[in-house]
Amino acid sequence: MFSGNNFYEVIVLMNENEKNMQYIEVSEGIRLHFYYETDFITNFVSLVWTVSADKKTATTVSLIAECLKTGPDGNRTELDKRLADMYGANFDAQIIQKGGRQLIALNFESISDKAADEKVLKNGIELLRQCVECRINEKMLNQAKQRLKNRLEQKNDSAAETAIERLIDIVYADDSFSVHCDGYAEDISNISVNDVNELFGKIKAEAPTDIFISGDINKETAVNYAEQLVYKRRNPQKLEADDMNITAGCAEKSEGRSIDQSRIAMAYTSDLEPYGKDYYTALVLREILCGSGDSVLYDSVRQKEGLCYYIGGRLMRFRMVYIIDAGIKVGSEEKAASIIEDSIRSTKITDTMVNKAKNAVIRAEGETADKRTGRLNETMNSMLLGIIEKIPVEKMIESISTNDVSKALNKLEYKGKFILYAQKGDK
Amino acid sequence: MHRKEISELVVRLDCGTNYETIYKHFSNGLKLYAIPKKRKIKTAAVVFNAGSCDTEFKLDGGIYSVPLGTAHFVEHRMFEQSYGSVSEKFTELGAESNAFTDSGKTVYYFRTAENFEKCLKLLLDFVQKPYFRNNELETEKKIIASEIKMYADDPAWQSYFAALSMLYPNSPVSEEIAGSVESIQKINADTLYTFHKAFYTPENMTVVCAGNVDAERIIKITENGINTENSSMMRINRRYNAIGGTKKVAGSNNVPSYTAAFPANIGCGKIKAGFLYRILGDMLFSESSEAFAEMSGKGLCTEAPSVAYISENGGILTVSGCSEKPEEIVKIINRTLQSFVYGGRVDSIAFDRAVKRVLGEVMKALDDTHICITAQSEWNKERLTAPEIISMIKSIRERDIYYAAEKTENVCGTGICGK
Repeated sequence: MFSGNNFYEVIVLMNENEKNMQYIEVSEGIRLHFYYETDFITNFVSLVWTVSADKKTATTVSLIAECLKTGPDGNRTELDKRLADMYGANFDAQIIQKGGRQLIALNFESISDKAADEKVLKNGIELLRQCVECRINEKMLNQAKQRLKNRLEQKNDSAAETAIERLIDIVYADDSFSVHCDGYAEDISNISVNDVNELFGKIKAEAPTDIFISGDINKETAVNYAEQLVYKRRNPQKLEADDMNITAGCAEKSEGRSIDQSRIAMAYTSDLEPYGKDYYTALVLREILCGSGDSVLYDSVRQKEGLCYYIGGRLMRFRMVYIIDAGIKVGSEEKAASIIEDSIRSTKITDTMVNKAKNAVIRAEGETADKRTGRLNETMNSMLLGIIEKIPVEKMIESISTNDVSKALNKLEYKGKFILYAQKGDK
Repeated sequence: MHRKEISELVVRLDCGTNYETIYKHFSNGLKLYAIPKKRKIKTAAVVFNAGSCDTEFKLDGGIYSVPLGTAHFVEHRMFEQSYGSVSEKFTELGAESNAFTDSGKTVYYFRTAENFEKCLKLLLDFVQKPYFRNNELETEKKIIASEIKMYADDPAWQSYFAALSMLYPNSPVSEEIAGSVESIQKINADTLYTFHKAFYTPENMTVVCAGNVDAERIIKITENGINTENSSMMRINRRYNAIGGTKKVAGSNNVPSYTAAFPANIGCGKIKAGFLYRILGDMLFSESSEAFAEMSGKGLCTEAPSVAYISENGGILTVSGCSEKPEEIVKIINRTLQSFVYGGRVDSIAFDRAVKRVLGEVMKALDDTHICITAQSEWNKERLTAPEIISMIKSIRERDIYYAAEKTENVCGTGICGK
């Protein structure tokens, strides 16, 4: 298997499709990813700090993002007015989890200066700069704590999210992948304003940082904007390796909840690598098993048996694990689980299946490329995985054979299941 | 806004952006919009003005009343044809297909990187060819029942329909889009054929395409691909009186969801009404509003309520969110709206900001081809395109907002879902 790569040794070679992107080292450990493009009405800027996920600090990191959401001084009224004046610009600070890494992304998106006939982007950069330089105060933190507490409760209220999170908890019990990067409700009250500022200062000064600027902006202006977002760096750190530590054997657990429909989540690991041909083979297999309206599991669990409305699956790239989840009719949970397992084991991969799935993967890659957030995500993935060469996706996919996908299917290993039993619904 | 004729196409260029929409309205009533964009993915949708509220209609001299959930049931079954699954055909062509139904429309769409024209032909073909067999409907009923139960666990959804059911009891708008587990049992192949015949007609249909597309080719394919005729369908529009009241739905969620719904019958075009209420909602309930300052100051909520408008039953304004004390929040919402109506002073600065925000939101949405076609599928009801929408928003004045507020009735349907 793989482990995380050193962030500073990564060199991203651009392929033909990415010739409009430029990669510029603004300061030690701070990279600007600049896309010049005129096909969008909007401009997009994102500032991303990357740290290792750790249960001890996850809630504090999450609280930093929560504080930044309200702007540089926690005055939501003023922030709301500023954003409205910038034609309803989007401003957000979000936590993203990638394997055992926790990312804080500070995003700004607004209509372009041309569309607005005003200097909107300059004002947006100033807002981001103020956020980078701000010191979090007691009022900001208290509000952030309340919002985070509510958000975690709402997440817990979602049966679908609960089932997947609990599954990862048991299958990756001793792996930083199971750290809840949104934070832990029980840790919130013990975190002080000093804790938050100390960690925020350390992250700004030391954490690997990426700045994305995309839109109808010239390079000099983009570099100038990026430089405004650079905080005083001291002792820039390299990221620790993101090693996998999966629970031995199979982990199974269940809980009851007063809901109408049960939720089931199952984990299958793959021995494929998260990059190159391996990764795209894994995506092709995902399409075949649980991608679209004619996937194997959609057909067997929904169309043939009518046990669910929703069944889907995702490939969690940083652990190469497939998480299959479904909302299941009360009383049919075990039957559904057994159909899922049987379908995976009995599926015979055909050329037709592979060709259809390849097209779907090419389409999905196109959708990613069409969206700024998709591109940002893909660039971060490449950097964190240490992908040093990017071959055009189409070529990579073209080289995948039916035999490759069959092998990948045969090597899937069942690692666990979580069932959230509905205690309200009719059988 | 400039206009120039290119053969039979009319191209509209937007102010300040590269955005343009090419449209054609056919003599049989069919409307077509193409939104060219430099993107890898091309997308197309066929929209029928047939939604969950279309339960009563006249057709060929008869009066029909179909079970709740019929429009949604048709949407599900259209993907099964005599040759098998339509989704599979799209997948073979490299496309992803799907559909959705809301209170007033059903939308079928696909997204693809290749074979766009073949996909468009398939889309136009299958929506015109109903293939319903009674013996195949039982599994579908189980699947839809499962979908209904999935939404039963969604507190925001439950509070929304609880509010509408208190505002307009027994009106189709207050019923879930998929119907109920009981209502869908009454649906058979005849019901589906009748509904399809009534509503899936050219005059009720719009085609929208976006991405790196050739408008002239799209027009040609559409012209050749439409072979159904218009029906004699006439909607039976009943008038419902707003009643009001509060309904609580038990849920497993710790933070209750709430929705407050108000009649909002302004009388102008529904698209414009939607923007007027969106601006009003921003002025009254955004994070910079006095109401939100009061709500958050009292510790009632941490996020500003969201405001929406639907055009059914003359128009309904909804304000919703999450709070541990939903009743208190709804009181503030009610009081804020009524104070504005009766004490009415429009804060010019707040108004200008709200207009800018709404304008920016519309323009931002145009960057995404999927959002583009979804928005256009709504705007087509009044034959409007994005440039006209932008002009419309720019023309809104303070007095329009005051007038919109005046047209909300002092009746509130409240829905609360939580433990």
